[in-house]
Amino acid sequence: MSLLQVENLNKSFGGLMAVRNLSFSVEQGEIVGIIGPNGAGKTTSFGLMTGFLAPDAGSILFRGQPIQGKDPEEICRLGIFRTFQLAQSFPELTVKENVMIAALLHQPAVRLAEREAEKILARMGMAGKGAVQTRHLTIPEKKRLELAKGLATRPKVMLLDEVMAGLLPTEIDSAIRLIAELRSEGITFVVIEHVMRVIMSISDRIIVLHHGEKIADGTPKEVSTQPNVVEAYLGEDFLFA
Amino acid sequence: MMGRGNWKFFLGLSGALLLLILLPLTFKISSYSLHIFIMVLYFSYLSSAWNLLGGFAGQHSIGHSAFVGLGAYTSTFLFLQIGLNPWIGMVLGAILASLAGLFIGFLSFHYRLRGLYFVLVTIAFAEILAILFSNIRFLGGASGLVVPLKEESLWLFQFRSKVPYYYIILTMLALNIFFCYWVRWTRLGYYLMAIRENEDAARAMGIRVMDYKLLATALSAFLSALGGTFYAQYTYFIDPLTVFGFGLSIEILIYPIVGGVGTVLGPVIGTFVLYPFAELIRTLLGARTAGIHLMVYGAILVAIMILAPRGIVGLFGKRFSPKKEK
Repeated sequence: MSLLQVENLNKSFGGLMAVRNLSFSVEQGEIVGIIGPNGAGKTTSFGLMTGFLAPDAGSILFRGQPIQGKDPEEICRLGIFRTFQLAQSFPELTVKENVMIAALLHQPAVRLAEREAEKILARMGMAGKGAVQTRHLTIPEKKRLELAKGLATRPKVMLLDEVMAGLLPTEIDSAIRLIAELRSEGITFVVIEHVMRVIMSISDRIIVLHHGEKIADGTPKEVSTQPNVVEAYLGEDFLFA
Repeated sequence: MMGRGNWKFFLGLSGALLLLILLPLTFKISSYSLHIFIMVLYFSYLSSAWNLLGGFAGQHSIGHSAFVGLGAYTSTFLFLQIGLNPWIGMVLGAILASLAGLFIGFLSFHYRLRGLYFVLVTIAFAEILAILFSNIRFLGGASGLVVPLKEESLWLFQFRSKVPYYYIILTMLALNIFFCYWVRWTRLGYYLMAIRENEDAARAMGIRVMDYKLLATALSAFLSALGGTFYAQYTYFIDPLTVFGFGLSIEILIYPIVGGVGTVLGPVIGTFVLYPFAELIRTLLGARTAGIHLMVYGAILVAIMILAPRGIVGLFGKRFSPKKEK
């Protein structure tokens, strides 16, 4: 049984089919990349998988249980955390409070949650930022905070929506290391990313979306050499060694 | 959890409380001045109750008179009809107000009414009750209900002197502040702030937003209704306009806005500054040209909002809000 199984998912906004007959599965411990041009339905599928959007048709199974149509908070409680493309935080609260509030999901007391938040921030290299109001963070810092909050909810699956956009190359390297490390601790990842270097290097498998449909699903090597993928997304002049 | 704030906060608060306790004992205070103090404490109390929902959780209600009115009417009506003890009526009124809060909260939150739409629902709800109570003769109609003076006793919540009322509302306010302080530093407080700051982010981290908003509404309504009974017992007279009216709802939220929305002491500080001031300009200017004191009052409010958009507490930053020092 797959950890996460999406079957024939459909979602349209007015006349636009944002996601069309989308099916794929994610196995325990995998890192699955999702790529596709703008408007391909990547973020929409995250919204559907986490209850922020209700599918028109289709099903989503998490550990064999249907979760489509459930509220976002219940889906988080089952162990699926998503980050937002535009990082969503509590702007007037401090960085530590943001993570602490997420940690309260599993911690019975504020003090314990605070301690866990400190640990997570240290791990993320944000220990010095704990007392800063979130609205003062830079965009890359806000994205790192998204990850920190996610970890505090102790997820089984993390859906990362372009957390590396805008990062410096060295920061990208450390983010990649972090994701690999977290995977070895048992967290499964589904990653939307535009930075090809990242997606090619971390993904076990890549799903390519185009106009809401899946046009490819395979290893980075398989996908990047598939002609329709090259045409749709990578561009004709894309050269993959 | 009490140890989380800095000790200066508690020292300052205890000092202020002590002063207020000693006030009627040490000074020969006129009945009029005492009345002003009672009203300041009363509005501090109602504003703090509003602040739980409007300030901490960011769900701005402009219909809190609904809860005050339900409290005032429940205890008074039951006292008149079946002679029920007002203290018991007070609790029953608070429970009824909580249920009413849950009802409008559920309707609003279930249909995802946020921001201005929630504001409109609360206004409409209070107006409906005002109209309803004005037209039901059984409940006194537009002319209201009079609390009959039976005997002077704590048991019957009736006194000839204002002093006992002063101490009752002071106690209620003190308990309310400590409750708000406790909430502020517990899971509930953090969750409410998270909901205020960003509901989607809160849901994404597993917070059951609906439950917590309803809880905040019920608590806020409960406390407000207790205030309503106090008011009825203090003035011996209630009518739909004064306890359900739009004016009361506005007044309840003016003080937190001036003092600092979402802070533990903001509503209290706002009332202590603004209420006596309004009273002062009313007595100074009220007799001259009709309405001029209201114009001055309005101008001052505008000035405060421009100069201190985060309220008086915001001007002093961390000194008045019990942030931990680190």
